[in-house]
Amino acid sequence: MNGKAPATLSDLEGMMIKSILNNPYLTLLIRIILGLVFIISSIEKIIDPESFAVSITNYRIFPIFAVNFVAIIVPWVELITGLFVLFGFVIKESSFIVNIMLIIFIILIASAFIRGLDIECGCFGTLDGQKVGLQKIIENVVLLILGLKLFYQKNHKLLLKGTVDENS
Amino acid sequence: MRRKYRTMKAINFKNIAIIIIVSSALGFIYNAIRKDSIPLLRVQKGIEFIDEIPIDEISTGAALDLQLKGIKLETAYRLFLSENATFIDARDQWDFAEAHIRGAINIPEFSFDPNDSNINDLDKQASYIIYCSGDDCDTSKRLAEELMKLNFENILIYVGGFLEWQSAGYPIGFGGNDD
Repeated sequence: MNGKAPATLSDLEGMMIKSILNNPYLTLLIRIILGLVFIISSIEKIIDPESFAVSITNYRIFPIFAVNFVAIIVPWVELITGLFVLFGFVIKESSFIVNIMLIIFIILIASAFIRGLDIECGCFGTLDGQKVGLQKIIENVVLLILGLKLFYQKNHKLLLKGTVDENS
Repeated sequence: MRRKYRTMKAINFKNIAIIIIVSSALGFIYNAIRKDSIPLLRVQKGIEFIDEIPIDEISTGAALDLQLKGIKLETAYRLFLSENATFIDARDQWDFAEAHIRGAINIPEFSFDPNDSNINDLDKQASYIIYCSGDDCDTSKRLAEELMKLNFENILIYVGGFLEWQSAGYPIGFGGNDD
C-alpha cells in the first residue's frame, strides 16, 4: 500500500488488525498475563521442591542426580523472569528467557505425551495436578505466542527499564 | 535479515546470564536456609526385584538399605492368594474408591501423616505390598520409604501397580476402605 489510502475494506481491516496488534496496551496486557502465569506457577514449585523434583523425575529425561538441581533453579528463574516481564524490567532479555523456557516445556510435555507417559505435568507445581496431554501443549504454545509477541514488540508502555528502546 | 540482525543486537546476553545466575543463586540460597531443603544431588532408592526368593524368606531389612524390595505381577498374585500380606494402595481416595486390588487398604501418599493412628495401629511386623497406578508412579516408593521410617519391617512394592493387576483380570474391589 505504501502510505496510500486503503482502497478496499479488507485493506482497512488489515490496518485495523495491525494497529490493534501493535497497540502498546495489548503488550502491557500480555506482560501481565505472562508474568502472572510464571510467578504463580513458580511459587508452588518453590514451596514444595520435592514434589516438583518428583514431577521432573517422572518425565524420565533428566538423569536422577541432576533432577534436584533443576528443581532448585528453574522455579526461581521462572519467578524472576515472571516479575521482570510483569514490571517490564529488561523486557527483551526476560521475554527471551521466558520463550526459551516455554519451548523447552513444550518439548518435554510433547515427548512425554508421545511416549504415552501417564504423568502429571508439574507445570504449576502440584497446584493443578493436570496430566500431560494435548491441552497442556496448546496452553504452552499460546503462552509462547504471547512471549514471542512480547519479544518482537518495539513500543512498550510502563516499562521499568527496557534495553529495546535504549539500544535500537 | 536486517530485522533479525537488529533483534539479535537488541538482546543483551550479559543481562540474560545475570538473570540466570542470580535466579540460580537465590534458588540455592533459599534451599540451603529452608527447613525442608532437598539435597543437591538426588539419590533415588532403586528397586531390587525379589521374585526369586521364597515368600517366607522375604524380609526388607533395615530402613537404611538403599534398595527397596520390588515384586512383579505373579509374585504379587501368589501373595494375594496366600493372604500372608496386606496390599496398601498409595493412590488417592478417589482412585481407590473407583477400583483397587481386592482387600487392599488405602493410605494416600499425598496426604501421608506419620502420626495418623490408623497407620500406627497397623502391625509393623506384618508384610505389606504397596502399589500405585502403574510403573510410572512414584507414590508407592515414597510411601514405602515413609512406612519404613516408622519401623514397618516388611514392605514390598508391587511395581506393575493397579493398571497391570486390572488388565491381568485379577480380583478387584470397589468403594471405600471397608471391604
